[in-house]
Amino acid sequence: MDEIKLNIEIPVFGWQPKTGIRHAYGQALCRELQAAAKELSEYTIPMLHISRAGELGCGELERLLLVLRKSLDLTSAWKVADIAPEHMNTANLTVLRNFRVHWYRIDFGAWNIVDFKAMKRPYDYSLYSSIKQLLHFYDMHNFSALLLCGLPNQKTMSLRDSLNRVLETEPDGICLKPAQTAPVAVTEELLAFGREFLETAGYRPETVYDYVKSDLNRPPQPGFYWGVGCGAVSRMEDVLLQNTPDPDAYLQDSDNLEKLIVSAVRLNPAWLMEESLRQQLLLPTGADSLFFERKYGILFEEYRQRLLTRDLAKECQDRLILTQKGIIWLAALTDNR
Amino acid sequence: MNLTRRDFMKSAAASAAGLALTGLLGGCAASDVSTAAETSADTTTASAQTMAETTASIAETTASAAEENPVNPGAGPVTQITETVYSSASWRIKPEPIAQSEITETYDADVCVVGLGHAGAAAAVHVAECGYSVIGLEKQLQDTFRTTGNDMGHINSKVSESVGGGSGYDPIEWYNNWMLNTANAANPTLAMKFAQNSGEAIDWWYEKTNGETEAKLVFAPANEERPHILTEVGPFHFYCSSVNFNDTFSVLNCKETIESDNADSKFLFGYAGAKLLQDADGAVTGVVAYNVESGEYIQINARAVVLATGGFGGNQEMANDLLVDLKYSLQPNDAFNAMGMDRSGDGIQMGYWVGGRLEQNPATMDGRASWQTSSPALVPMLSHPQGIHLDYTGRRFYNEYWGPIEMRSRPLASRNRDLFYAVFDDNLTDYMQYVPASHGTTNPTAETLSEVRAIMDAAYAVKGTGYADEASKSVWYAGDSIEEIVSAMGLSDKVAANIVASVNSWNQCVTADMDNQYGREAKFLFPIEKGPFYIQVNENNVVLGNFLVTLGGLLVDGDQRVLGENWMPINGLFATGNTTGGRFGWDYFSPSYGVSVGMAVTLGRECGKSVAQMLEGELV
Repeated sequence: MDEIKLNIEIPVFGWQPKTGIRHAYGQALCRELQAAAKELSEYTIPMLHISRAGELGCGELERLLLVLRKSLDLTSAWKVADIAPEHMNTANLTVLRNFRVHWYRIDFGAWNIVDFKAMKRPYDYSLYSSIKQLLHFYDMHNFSALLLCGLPNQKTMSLRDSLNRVLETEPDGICLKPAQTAPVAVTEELLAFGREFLETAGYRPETVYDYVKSDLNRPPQPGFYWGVGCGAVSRMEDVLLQNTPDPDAYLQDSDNLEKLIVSAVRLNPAWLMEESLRQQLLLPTGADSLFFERKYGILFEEYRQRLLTRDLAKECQDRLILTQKGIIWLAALTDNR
Repeated sequence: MNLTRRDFMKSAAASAAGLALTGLLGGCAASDVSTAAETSADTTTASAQTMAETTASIAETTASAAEENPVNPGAGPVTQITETVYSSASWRIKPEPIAQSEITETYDADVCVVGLGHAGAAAAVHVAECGYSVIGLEKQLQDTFRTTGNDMGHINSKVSESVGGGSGYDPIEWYNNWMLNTANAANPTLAMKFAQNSGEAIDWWYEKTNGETEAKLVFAPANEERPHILTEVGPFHFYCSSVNFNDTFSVLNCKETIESDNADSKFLFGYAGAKLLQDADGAVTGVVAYNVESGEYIQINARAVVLATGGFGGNQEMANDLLVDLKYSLQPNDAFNAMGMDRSGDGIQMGYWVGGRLEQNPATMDGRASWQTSSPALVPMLSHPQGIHLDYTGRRFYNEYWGPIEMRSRPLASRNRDLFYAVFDDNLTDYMQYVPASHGTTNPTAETLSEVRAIMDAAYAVKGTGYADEASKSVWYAGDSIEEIVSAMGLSDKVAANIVASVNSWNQCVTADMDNQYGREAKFLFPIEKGPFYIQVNENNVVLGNFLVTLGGLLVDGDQRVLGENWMPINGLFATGNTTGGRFGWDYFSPSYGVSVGMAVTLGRECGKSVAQMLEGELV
């Protein structure tokens, strides 16, 4: 039986979404899972990854996990849930612990230092220390801190500072993940520096079951991946499938997979190149034309113009949140963020 | 090249062995490989309103009906006013009935307690000790079960006295102090029940641990090392009798006892309440619960149900819906979240669905008190009321020494919180010894005083520039005069002049032995006269909106029966612990550490007493 990794895609709601959205999305996820259950039962599921698990309210999360447990055989699955610090509370932890989720990732470190300092907003690392204590109180000795390497303007010294701050909280694990905004060589240099720094400090940078392995980049890594949720991407070897990124359409059609999957693409180098460029252009730092041309051997400007003819600016206007998979949730759904 | 969808997937299926999922894609949109990104990147402006409309029906009801007054039949009709619901939050929508065919098992017991934390377990155990059968439901699994928060605020227990806690406190004084703190908003009966019974309840509960955990004193009374611990600040009293012990042992030990004593009694872990059962008259007759692992439903038929599932701060939608006043107080740099210790609000939802009244703008533990950024430590400036605190204009604005820390931070909730200054002199560490045993207080042990002294010394070592103290997230400036410091701070002339003038006028108050600005008590008029001097700059580190738990929910009477229409109890339904409202005032406050947990245990047990009274037919 083939293996298929399962990813539940949950957008960023924040603490004050408009009424009913979180609840509606949770219900839609359940409907989609139930609709796909029969087909998914043909596979062994070695990994279940729930992106932003805490973004759902504890009630919605619990319903989702019940549906998952009822619909699929997850007995051999390594279950991973990402929870942002602001959603780390005993209500969510109880739900996840009852589901035997084994591993938590917390996004902090380099990105936050750059981002929050630039915003002149204090960023309190002691929060993470408290969270670690809470997790340990719950017998969860698997708190893992993620640091991104290759962020805009990131230097080895700033990464070192970030790592030092992270080490103060004594996480159970530390994971270094390459960001996709800097040239590969820079990112590799930062990653190498980070790994050496951590090993000197007595940490072994995580390589097994860590975030890099569990996350589904867009396009997902080769193999069989199934994405559930609005805009979720699946990969069946060289075929890339995507659910509708339209939230309204998703809520309406989540139990109708024929309508839900709006694109099916056979991956090829040209598509990968264009998608890579499109995502880079969505970032505030834009795309590195030299890097692009070195990597693909094709003139950057030609492809930039090609994308611009697709009215990229308009495309970006309402798409404020770039997720790990490039799925962008509309700002209209997240008031007061 | 354009492919039809079927062509494409047919091809895909051929290339991907075992692609069972291709069967899903019969109607999937075809994509030309070269333009596929256009399809996937299609953008739609979402209408959140539309989504809400399609998924949530608004349970807005303003019903009134004239009916005979059931309490005083001769008094004529009463107007029954159901709660006007201004919110369309989805949690308020009563779920569909659960079909009897979905119930896999049925239990019969005298009492069902939903939630086995501090309060629910205490209620269940007391009911069982009265000889009644009880089914306890707990969402956590037994092998990972934990109670949360173990500081137990109370007065007059033997266990506290045995570890050096204060003793012999006057329950009436405690009661009046509580009512003063809550502006008389607390339920008087519950407050007095706590005052009269908390010591006995904590001893009873500690005994259930069977010696498997050790009790520790949370904050010691005045002693040789800390001779100036306060028991009074203004009209407010403080109590040094809180103890800490892990009552997880109490709950688990009691499970064994009650199950062996009564074959019909069980503590069922891994079960959560789904909804309440009612008879034709609206009386609650049981609970439908579900197994959190299998989702299977069970039904518990009971003569009384106690809801004790804790607060709702872990449920973002409920927090967003109910904490209206707190949200209104926030400014952009504030946070709004539960920092870790709160629950999902299940019990409050279940009670609300059968007509239970909700406390409006319920209190949170420190949500309306000012915190230092996001950390669970109150603002150092507020923890150090010994100096004077100035706003961004450099002027004093309140009594720094007014009651417990939550109370004295109240004025900060309704003003800009971007920037504050705190001014101290070199005697700060001496003055710091004058503190009450209040949540958030800096305990003036030799160790903590030396830490503050180290900050002061570090600031003086770099005088002329600021010393950024990581622990307090503030910048400390030091100098040999206030004028020297404000000059180094680079302030505007007006703010600098205001700070100097504020210090001078403060010292005049000290000399006159009277704070005619904000009424600080004479015993706390510490002069700012001995150099070096220090100004702590608190920029963006005073944050509202982080709360540990919520402290309000279903309104209950003095027997902890849930109140429904016309403020009358719903027959058969009780609530206790943080599932109930009407115990705190505008926010959590702490005449002693851990008062909410101590109150959960004590009032949980008191709820058990009321339930037993009801079962015996003694409750009117």
